[in-house]
Amino acid sequence: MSAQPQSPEPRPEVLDANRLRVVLDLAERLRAYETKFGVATSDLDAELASGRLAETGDVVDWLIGYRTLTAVLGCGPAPAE
Amino acid sequence: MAADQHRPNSWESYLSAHRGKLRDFEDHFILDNRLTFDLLPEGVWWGGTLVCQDGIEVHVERYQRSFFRKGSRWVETLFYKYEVIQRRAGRIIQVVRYDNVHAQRGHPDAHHRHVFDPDGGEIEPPEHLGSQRWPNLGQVLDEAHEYWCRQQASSR
Repeated sequence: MSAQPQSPEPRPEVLDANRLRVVLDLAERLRAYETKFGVATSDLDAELASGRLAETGDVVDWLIGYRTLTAVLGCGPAPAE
Repeated sequence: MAADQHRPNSWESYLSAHRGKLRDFEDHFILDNRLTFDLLPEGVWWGGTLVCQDGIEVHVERYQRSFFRKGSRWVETLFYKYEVIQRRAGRIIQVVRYDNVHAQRGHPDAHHRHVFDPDGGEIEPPEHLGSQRWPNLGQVLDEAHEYWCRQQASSR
């Protein structure tokens, strides 16, 4: 449901489909950055810490994709409060 | 910039504030709103660009964690990049960039700001902001607008 903000809350199956699409999009983005920079995403933090890779806007987008993908795949259903 | 502004907020309230902020600029500064979002079961993924006057663009990447209270979605920003650039005479000039996905050397946390000179060269080192001073998108939009106003004033 990539769209301008609209309520109300979508049905669960729509949310699941959105999640699948975002995961696939982010995974594709990570692959593209790995090809562009010649660095594995799993080495990204180490490359930045060592100074071998500079923190540009592109690299930040790559990092956000990585962090988000990790969060989305690592989370179960949203906790109730 | 108060830390309280980053506390969890109801999605409905967040959207209302977001839309209101954009409306403030749509009649004179924002030309094209290409910023979209995806609602996920456990979060909200934002990405895109606010295309503004005179080649200024605000690029946004953001992930908000979600949880539910009495059936209503609440959101809290976990990761963000807010970047202002200007397309000028075939070049891309960087203006400012905020992000929190990589801690700079010597910084206690990852919230920081990259600043650039008028030709887009980065002024080192990045400024640490910490959990008390990182901006929301509306404040970055204000900053982009002020940058544009200063340019307008200096060109008169």
